[in-house]
Amino acid sequence: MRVNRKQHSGAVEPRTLLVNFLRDDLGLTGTHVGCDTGHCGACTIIMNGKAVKSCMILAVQARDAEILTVEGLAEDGEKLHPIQEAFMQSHGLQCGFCTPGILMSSLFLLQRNPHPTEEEIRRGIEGNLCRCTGYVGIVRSVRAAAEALSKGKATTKKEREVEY
Amino acid sequence: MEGQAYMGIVRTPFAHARIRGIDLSKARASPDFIAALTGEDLVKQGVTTVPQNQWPPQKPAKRYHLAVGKVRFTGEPVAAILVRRKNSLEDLVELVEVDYDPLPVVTTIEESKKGKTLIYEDWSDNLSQRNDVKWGSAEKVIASAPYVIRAKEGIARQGSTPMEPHSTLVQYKKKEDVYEVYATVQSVHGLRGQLASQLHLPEERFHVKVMDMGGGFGSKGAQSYPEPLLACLFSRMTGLPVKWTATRTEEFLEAASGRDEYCGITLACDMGGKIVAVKAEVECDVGVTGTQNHMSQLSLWSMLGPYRIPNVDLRLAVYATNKMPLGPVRGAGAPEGCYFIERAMNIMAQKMGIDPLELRKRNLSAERRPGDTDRKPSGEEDHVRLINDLISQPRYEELLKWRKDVNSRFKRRGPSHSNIVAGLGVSIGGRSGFGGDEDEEEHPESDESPGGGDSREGSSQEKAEQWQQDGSQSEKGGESKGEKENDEASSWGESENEGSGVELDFESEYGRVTLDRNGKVTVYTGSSPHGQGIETTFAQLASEELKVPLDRVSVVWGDSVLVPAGVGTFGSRSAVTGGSAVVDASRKLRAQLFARVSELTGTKAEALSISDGRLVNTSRPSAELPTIAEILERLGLAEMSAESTYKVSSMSYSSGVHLCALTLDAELGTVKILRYVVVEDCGTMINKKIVEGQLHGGVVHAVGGALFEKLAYDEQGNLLTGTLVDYGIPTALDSPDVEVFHEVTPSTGTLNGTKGVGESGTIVGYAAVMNALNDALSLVRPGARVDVAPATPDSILAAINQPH
Repeated sequence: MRVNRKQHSGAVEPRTLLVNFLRDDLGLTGTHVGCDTGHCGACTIIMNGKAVKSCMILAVQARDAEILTVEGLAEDGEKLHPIQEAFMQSHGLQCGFCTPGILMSSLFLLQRNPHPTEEEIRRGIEGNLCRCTGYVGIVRSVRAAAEALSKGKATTKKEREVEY
Repeated sequence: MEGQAYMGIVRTPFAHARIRGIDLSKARASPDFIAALTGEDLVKQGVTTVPQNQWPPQKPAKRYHLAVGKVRFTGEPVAAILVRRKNSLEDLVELVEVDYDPLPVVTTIEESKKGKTLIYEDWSDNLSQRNDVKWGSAEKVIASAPYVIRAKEGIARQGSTPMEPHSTLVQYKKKEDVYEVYATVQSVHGLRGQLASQLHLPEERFHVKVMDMGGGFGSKGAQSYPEPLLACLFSRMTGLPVKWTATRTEEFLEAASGRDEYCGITLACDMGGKIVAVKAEVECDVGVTGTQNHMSQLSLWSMLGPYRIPNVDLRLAVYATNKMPLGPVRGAGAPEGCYFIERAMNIMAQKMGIDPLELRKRNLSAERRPGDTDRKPSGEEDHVRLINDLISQPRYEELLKWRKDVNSRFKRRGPSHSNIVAGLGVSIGGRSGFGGDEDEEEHPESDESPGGGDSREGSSQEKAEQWQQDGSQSEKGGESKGEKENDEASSWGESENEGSGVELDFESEYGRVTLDRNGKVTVYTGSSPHGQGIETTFAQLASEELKVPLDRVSVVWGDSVLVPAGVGTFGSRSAVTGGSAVVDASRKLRAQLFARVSELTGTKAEALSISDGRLVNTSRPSAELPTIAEILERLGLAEMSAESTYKVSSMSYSSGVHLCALTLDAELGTVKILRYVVVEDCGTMINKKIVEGQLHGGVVHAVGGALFEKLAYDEQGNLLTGTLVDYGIPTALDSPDVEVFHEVTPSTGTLNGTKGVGESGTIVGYAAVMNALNDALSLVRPGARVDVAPATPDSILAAINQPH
């Protein structure tokens, strides 16, 4: 599979979950595990263009897939993605545990809907639980990210979305 | 860690049973099996029983970290195994066969009271503790008062539910004879103390490290859990690094949950709207009892809110059941107490037909409480100002009008027919409404308030002071030594930080600040951040004190070697105590630096200042002074540092007024919170965004507690809510936007003017939501009430359809 624009391969036990393959085999521990039932959303990644919960997928199901994890958001692993920047500026995280999943869900949301309303933002991250922020900072961050992304597009015409 | 082994816990599926035998043979036969431990092994190795706080007075409960002879709650650890591969962990746990002989199960306070089945055989009944707070003559006053209301209120058992489950990784280093312990705890040094005392080893043998941690909310506080201890034993046995991570279900079965308190309250008011008496019987289901069994005692104190009540009769009974031990959950008893009184205040206001905020205003204590000194924080008494602030907000008017509009359409016939009712709710308060200074002679409520406030029983005053004082101690995490006396507050610090020579207690925290030749400042703190923004705010404090740019300040925490002593992060204490210690150490460091500069350059120390990281002579700004690097070089020092264990003159907590606006669908029983407004005073704000973030999260925690969250057990003691979806913490769609307005009355009890704000959103929030809901309910059917949280659609519909 391609993960964060790099080709990876490995042999796994058939029952290995994708999230465990990413974390344990590839060392991409930015993707978190907060539950075992697909409810918390901390393990959300982008797989073949869609936000998915990587604890609900077997690693073998992701064979040949195009995957983006939180580690792949920053350009060259350095310059923060505008969504990450917005979360930093608008206090979109406290303990940070849910953040990787929320970032990926936000990316997926903003790609489909660049100008979401508050209700649409809340719906877009409904599958990600956060216990610290009450979602207030998160909603503000997503809104700020939407503005930054659309401004970025208008002024520099630069495609800031991450390619898969 | 390279070569790590994985630990799994075998947990009982029975809530109450005798253990006839444990058969490890099938597990042992697996090539992945490495080692196992049972309760008998712990006894043989002399490991102590689960520590239990000595305050408040309670029956000792003898229970091991791996059950010995008997299991007492579903999910209680029975055995631990160590395996080679993560993937085989669950398989091997299943191969351990335990022969149980089930016993009758006690899962409710009612059953516990009957005492037919005893949780601990050496107890005569299931009553764990009992305590009263009493002054005046409540009974008599209630009998003759013109307005009396009664209510049965409660908050179900609820979890802290941080997003990251508990985890630990231990490497025993044979050569150094040191346990390197990575753990998810809110107190690094608290865990060090617990492990040392349970394994009878000196504290220096444990190097405890906490890395970025995904929330705590009390569940990672002082409760003593088995896993770090078991991982230490396994690592010593095998020499391997031992890793354990809880599944979410294990988290729900074992991580300390809170609340589970119920209160029959009677409130009496005179014709003028002055509360003349409160009487309450509080019952708490403490489960099998745990390390910290004082939450309901703190509720009792919080119940008096910021009010002056001349006649008080509060009785608490705490019962053991076959449920996991109760422990602190954000607010630790204060949300319950605040909810009990604030719900009752609204019921009273409704009965009297007066504005609920007006009723509160009439009963707030004076600007300064008797017994207050200048050292005291001034925040607790500022509710009048906060209430006035709220009323003056345009939002307040707007919401009153909105409520009227929505409700005018309710049940109207015709095209504008609606099932939707609007409700508004208010509540006020904060953590521990009155002073808890241990050296305060007089109880603030014992002043000459009208109606016989001075007739309070002496014995309960003593008890009261004992609670206040010891309560602070018991919050500190990890103490397990039984022989503590009231006057040994400082010896606690010694025992917790033995070897470091540093004395700390609940009102102090360790801080050290260093300045190196590159002008880089490093802050070392005993606080243990996990989402509170402490790295940011403590860096800000040092940066402001030392006048060095923020990006040159770094903060070190979460390491029992790099930071020799500490108390930790819980109980709204870090900015107050840890922050004060950072300010104190920074000031000491600055004084030390200026003294040396003065010696070297002849410039008077008083004339020295720092600007943007450079030394300045304020009386002659043009004068050239050496750089900090040159000074340190001349002194032959790599760095200069100062330490502090600053003790705040009183713990300071923020106060708040909350307003909740919601709609109720009277046919479905569902609730939607539309607006939520907080007006609060947490004193000086080091960082406004972070303060507001704490309030946002705190409020939504209360929203979950008021409307959704419940750890439900069936009559056999099975946990029915073992996943996040069954338990129901609020999603983004369930949560309101939270508007926050501030008053800033700096605390005089802390060095930085702050008052603890971490829990205040949760403490005050329950009542605001429940009062709003009941406001809406009263329109659907007069007299319909839901007084037990969470107010689920079922209980709301039951209230609508049945007479109260």
